[in-house]
Amino acid sequence: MDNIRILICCAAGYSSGLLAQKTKKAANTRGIAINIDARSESQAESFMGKIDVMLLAPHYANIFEQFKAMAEPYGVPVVVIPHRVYGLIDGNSLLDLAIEAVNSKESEKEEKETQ
Amino acid sequence: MKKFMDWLQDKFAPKANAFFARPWIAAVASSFQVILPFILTGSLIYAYKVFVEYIPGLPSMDYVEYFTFRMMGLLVAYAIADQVMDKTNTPQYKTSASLSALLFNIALSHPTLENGAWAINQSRMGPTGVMLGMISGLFVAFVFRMIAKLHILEDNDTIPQFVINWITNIIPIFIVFLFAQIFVFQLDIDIWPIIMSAFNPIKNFAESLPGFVILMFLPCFFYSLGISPWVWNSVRSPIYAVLMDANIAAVAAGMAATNITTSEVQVTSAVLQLGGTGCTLALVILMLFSRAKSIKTLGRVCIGPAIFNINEPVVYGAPCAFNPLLMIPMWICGLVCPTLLWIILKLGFLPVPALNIRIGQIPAPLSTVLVFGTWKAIIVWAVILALTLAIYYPFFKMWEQKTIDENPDDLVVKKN
Repeated sequence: MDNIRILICCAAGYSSGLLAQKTKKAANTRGIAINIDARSESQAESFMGKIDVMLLAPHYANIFEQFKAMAEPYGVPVVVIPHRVYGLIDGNSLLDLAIEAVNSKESEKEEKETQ
Repeated sequence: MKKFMDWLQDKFAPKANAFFARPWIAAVASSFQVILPFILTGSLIYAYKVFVEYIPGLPSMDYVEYFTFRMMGLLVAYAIADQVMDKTNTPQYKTSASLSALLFNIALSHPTLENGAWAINQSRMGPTGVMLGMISGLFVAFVFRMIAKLHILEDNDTIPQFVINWITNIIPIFIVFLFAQIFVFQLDIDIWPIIMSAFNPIKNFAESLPGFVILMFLPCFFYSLGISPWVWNSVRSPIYAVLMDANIAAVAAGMAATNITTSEVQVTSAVLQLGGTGCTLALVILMLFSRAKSIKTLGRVCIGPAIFNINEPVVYGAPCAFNPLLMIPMWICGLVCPTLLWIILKLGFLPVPALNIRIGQIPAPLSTVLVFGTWKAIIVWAVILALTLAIYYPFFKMWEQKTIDENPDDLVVKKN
């Protein structure tokens, strides 16, 4: 698989920045190639088309639907990060989450094509 | 209490979440994140000015500040239109809308054209002009949304797409500036004095004890329901900006700064956000010494961010959000600490700051000294830290006991 391009969004990119750093470390240890960026949710739109998955901080769970609608035309899956993963700044789990989201999107696409 | 907590979680929180998710509300809140880099650049200049005081002869950097922080209103106008287009899922209008908003803000500031030279009032573009910027941005966004909703020529297959794009952009831009032409320049209506007089009661309330406390408590309260404190920037930023602008102007005129409800006092100084909204540094410190392994581990993860006043990890990790045992001390801190600081400032124990430093991630007590410009600030920081430790302690103990009861293996066995 090519580099997985991940975008994490929180308010100003501070807390998500910490998580991005941990995720990068986890990916390096596991030998998985990723590009990860942490930004303010206000910048999310300009990243569409350049990412494979968007992960949303738990305190923006309430605007999940808007981001889903924004990402839909680009085929980018949007996932809200579980409280526990965000709280523990758990890069490993976040990486799993991202990979899972990308894979399920891929298989969804394949299903559509075979139909 | 149990009933209240249930009502809060099952009835109130979903409603609040839905309210803050409304595209226009979310857009106004996010717009203050968009302009953040400019505010931070302006803040750098103020930090630099602290050095200039001690090392005379350093060159002036004032114009860097003039075109960043002192253009805050203009930036807000741009950012609001930008974010409304994003959040209402019409990004195809984004560039035209946000550029129109920026230019419309200049028009709405009621500039005059004489002998080919525009006279634009600088203060109307700046922090005091944030309200004007918000109005400009919202109006332009409204016009573009109306046009977008009409879906003009959308399913047309006889006109080339680029022609359709021209038309759909030209119409809203034309309406926006036709409005300026008629109302601002032909009817000569200046809304600035109206905004300023409407703002007076808001200002007086913000400066009062209830106002000062509420501006801190509301973000804290809603944070405990899982809503980002950043959404309150849409309410707090315009107030902060006007009041700080007045302080800076007063000092420049040789008078004393008097407004205390500023971002510097409430946010940057970090005494009211010690470890983040809800003063959670105290909680994280208690967690470091916990008898429960899981809590101790979380404390170690959260202490780094907490020093820089970032507390999403502890708020979602412990969690504090939706956890009655930890929500209550958060609320108490959100009420008690601002009350105390308001009294301290009113008694004149600390000077009222007149500087723009809006970097909320400077560790206390360094941030506290930087904002208040006196070593006495360390005393206030220490008092607040002790106070918040005392507030969190009994609740922390209950939570710790509950955690151990639920999972007895979690207990750290003390070595003798």
